[in-house]
Formats: sequence, structure tokens, C-alpha cells
Amino acid sequence: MADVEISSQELLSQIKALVSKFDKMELERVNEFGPGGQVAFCCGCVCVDKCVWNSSVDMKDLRILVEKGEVELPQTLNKLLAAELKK
Amino acid sequence: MKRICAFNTIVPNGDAGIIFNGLTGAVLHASAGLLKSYELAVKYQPLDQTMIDNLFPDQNIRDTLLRENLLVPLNFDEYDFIEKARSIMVTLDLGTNVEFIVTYRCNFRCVYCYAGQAPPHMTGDMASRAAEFAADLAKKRNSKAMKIQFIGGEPLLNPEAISIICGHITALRDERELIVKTSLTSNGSLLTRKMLQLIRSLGPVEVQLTLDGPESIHNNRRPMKNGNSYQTIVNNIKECTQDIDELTLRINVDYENVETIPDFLLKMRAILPHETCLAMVPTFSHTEAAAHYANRCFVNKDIAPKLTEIWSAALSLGYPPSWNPIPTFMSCGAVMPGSIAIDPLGDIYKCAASYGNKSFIVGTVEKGLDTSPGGVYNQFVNRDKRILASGQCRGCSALPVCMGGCSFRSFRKRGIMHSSDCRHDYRECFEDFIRQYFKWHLMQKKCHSKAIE
Repeated sequence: MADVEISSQELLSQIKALVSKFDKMELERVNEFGPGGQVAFCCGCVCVDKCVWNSSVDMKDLRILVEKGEVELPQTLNKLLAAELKK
Repeated sequence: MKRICAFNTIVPNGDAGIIFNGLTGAVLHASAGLLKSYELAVKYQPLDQTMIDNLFPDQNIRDTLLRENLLVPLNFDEYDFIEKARSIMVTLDLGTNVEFIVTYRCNFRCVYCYAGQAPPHMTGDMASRAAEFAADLAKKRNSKAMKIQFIGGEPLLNPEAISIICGHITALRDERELIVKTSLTSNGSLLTRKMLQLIRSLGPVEVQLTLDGPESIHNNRRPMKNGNSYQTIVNNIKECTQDIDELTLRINVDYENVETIPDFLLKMRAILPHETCLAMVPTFSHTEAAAHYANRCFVNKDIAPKLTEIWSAALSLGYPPSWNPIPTFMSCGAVMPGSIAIDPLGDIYKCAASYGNKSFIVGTVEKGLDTSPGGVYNQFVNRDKRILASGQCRGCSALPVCMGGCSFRSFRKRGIMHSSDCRHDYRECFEDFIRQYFKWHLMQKKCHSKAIE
């Protein structure tokens, strides 16, 4: 057990030393998709121009249907993903 | 404890990189330093909080990694999530998507044509029955939206059938307040404003036309009876632009024309509407009719480098990327329950590539769809589920986007649909799509100039 702990400590030290030499870290999303992004109106999935759930439906058209109450929204992909991640 | 998501794809981009998350479609710029830490995370995962803090000392970076699902909980099952997402998508299938093959005939004799001998046009009577079948299907499915597509052969050889179908669907649209979108896949030689206005009276129209490069090359590859097909098509594009909502120019690419494409695209910039999409796709010789063309098609190892070259040229000329890396959780529209194609004889298919292959008929307009459990219709609808369940694509980060590739090609290769049509031999295409898409986004936003460089 002690050996493992020492080994972990060494590993951490090595990682720390390595990481300190790396250039400045940057990580930035460039598109609209994803849970942290501009969520599509309907189900929080990845669509922007066209609904990926159904290629025959334009987002703006689907938005009208939702506003009219003619489409019952499903559980959203993002909600599903969030729920799965919390399990 | 956390680990790296199984569906992160890392794409080199100069000194830095791009991370694509296949579960959400997020595309992220990642600096060289970030990528080095990421590599260590891959090597030493699973990661406890101390490891994460040391690998990614910046709190904002850690937040982004978690928010964008680049790091996920150790017990998260991505494959289970994909199956759930796929299942929801199939259940939600709101629309009815009908392709009308109004004729198999064509006035071109393309050298690589994969279609075989042509049966007759769709008659006026059959056009009526086919349209009524489509209307009944939309009613049964309680669809709020329809997509009506006209394909062939050359569909504009049969304007009568198109006109009849438009009449029937217009009546249905008005009766049920349907949202209708249309598309026309044509060689472009017979395109007229009058026909486009007829189709467009149903709803916005997407048009796909084909030019295979400069005039001499195009005319050799896509000869038209009694005429110069290139000049005819270019003239028709100029004439009809205002009646087209979305134009896609298809370019079939192989060893014969690939070198000419960059100059051709430059010339076409002055002719095509600015928003024109390009579909630059390699020719294949996967049917008996096209078998003679095999030696002109790219061998697998050449596909990625050749396509990358012309995609880059297109992007630099301001054409949008040919494809967006979006996780659709389906391999193709043919797997959707509401998607069918009706041919001139009234036979119904699920898949465009299978037209004319009798073993792929899923019903007729007279007898209706055969939705028996083991039938071809359900083989299509359940195909992606079976691909997932079999585990054959496990380990591939492109899975949510590809979902095992083309059902029909799988069948041609192995005699079963639920086998993967893996394109791993030219997987670099997938990575280059991500790169092009990334650059396009930055160009549109006119920001992140450092990342573009």
C-alpha cells in the first residue's frame, strides 16, 4: 500500500513538472453545439439550421409547430446526457 | 473518478489541435500545451481529482473539459447513451420523406453510371397512385411535415409525373397545413424556371446538379445526346438561380478529373450563388453496371489525400464545408420509419442505392408496406440498433456520426445489412472534415485568427 502511495506521489510530481513546462493551455469551443453551447430551441440537441431528428424539418418550422403545441417535445438529448452522466 | 470520453477525436491543426466530441458535436480549439496534458490524461486514466487538478491547473480548463463531456465519470456508458439517443430519434420521426423516382431513363450516358437498364417512365396514373400512397402514409403517421424529393434517372424527363404529384401533395398540404420541403436531383440539362416554380409551389426547393470539372472533361464523362451538356447546365444555373432555395453542386471525383478541380472551382465561383454547397464525392464501381470503371476510381489509400486537397481548395475559395460533423445517431435517412422511395412501377424501396434490386423492395403502392418483423423494411429500421448491439464499431470515435456506414454497401460486401460498412481505410477524411469545419467556423466568425494560422 505504501509503495503504491509513494508511486502515486512520484507520478504526480512528474506530471506537475511536465505540465509546468507546457505552453499556455487554451481550450475553447468554436461551434454552437454541445451542452455548454447555444442550445437549440426544441430539445437541447445539436441542431442549428435543420433538425437532426428529422432531415425534412427546418428548425424554424419545428419551432412553429412547438409554439402551436402540435409537437410534444421528447426527453431532450442534453437532458438525457446530463442524466446519464450523473448516474 | 473520471476518464476521457470514448468519442473524443483529436485532429492536428498546425502546432495546436482540434477536439471533436462525437456525443454532442462540440468542436474545440486546443492549444499544444493542452493537448500534451490531454495525452497524459489518456495515459494515466482513470483520474481522481488530484490528478485532474495537476494535469489541468487552470480551473476554467477543468470546467470546460467537464462541461463539454471531454472528461466523463468513470461509470458513464457512452454506448448505452447512443442507443437511447438513437431510439428517441426513431420514435420522434415526425415527418414523412418520400422520394419519387419518376423515371429511370436518362438523357446522359455517364461513364461511371451505376444504374442498369431503364424501365419505362412513371405513368400519369402511377404518379397519381404513388402520390396518394405518400399522402395516406403521411396521414397515418400524423406527420406535420413532409419532404418530397424528385429523382431518377433524370426526373425532368418526366414533367407530367412531377406535375401530377405536386398537385396531389399541394391538396394534402392545404388540407392538413403540412410543412413541405422539396428537392430535385437532376443532371441540370432540362432545368427550367417553370419546372422549378412548379416544384417550389409545394415548398422550398433544394436542387442538386452535377458538373464534373472543366467543360471538356465534364462533357467526356457526362455526355448528353445531341449537345454540350456543360454549357447547357451552366446556362441553366444562371437562368434559374432565383428559383432555387438551396443549390448543391455535385462533383464526382476520381483520377481522371481530380487535378482539374481547384481551377474549376475558381471559375465556378463567378457563376454559382455564394452559398452553394459542394458535394465532392469519389466515384465507386460497386454495382455491375459500373464495374468497368474500377480502374479510374481512387484506390482506398488515395481517397483521403485527394479529397483533402480539393476540400482545402474549396474552403479557400469560400465554399462551405461539404459536410458537418454532427452526431445524428443514424447511419442514413433510409433507417427512419417515415422514409420511402417509390419507383416508376409502384415498387417501394427504403434506400436510394438499392433501386431496381428486387430483393430490396419493401412494398408496392397497391399492397402497401411490408412491415413484417423479419422483412427488409424492418431490417433497415433496426439496422443501426443491431450495429450498436453487435459491438463491431466499438472503439471508433466516429460512431455517433457514422453509425456503421451504408446499409446497402454492407449488404453488397457481406450479404447482410447489419454489418459495418467501415471506411477506416480513409478515416483521415473524417478528421479532415472536422478540420475544414473548424476553419469554416472561424472564418465565419472572423475571430480566433491565431487558431486559424
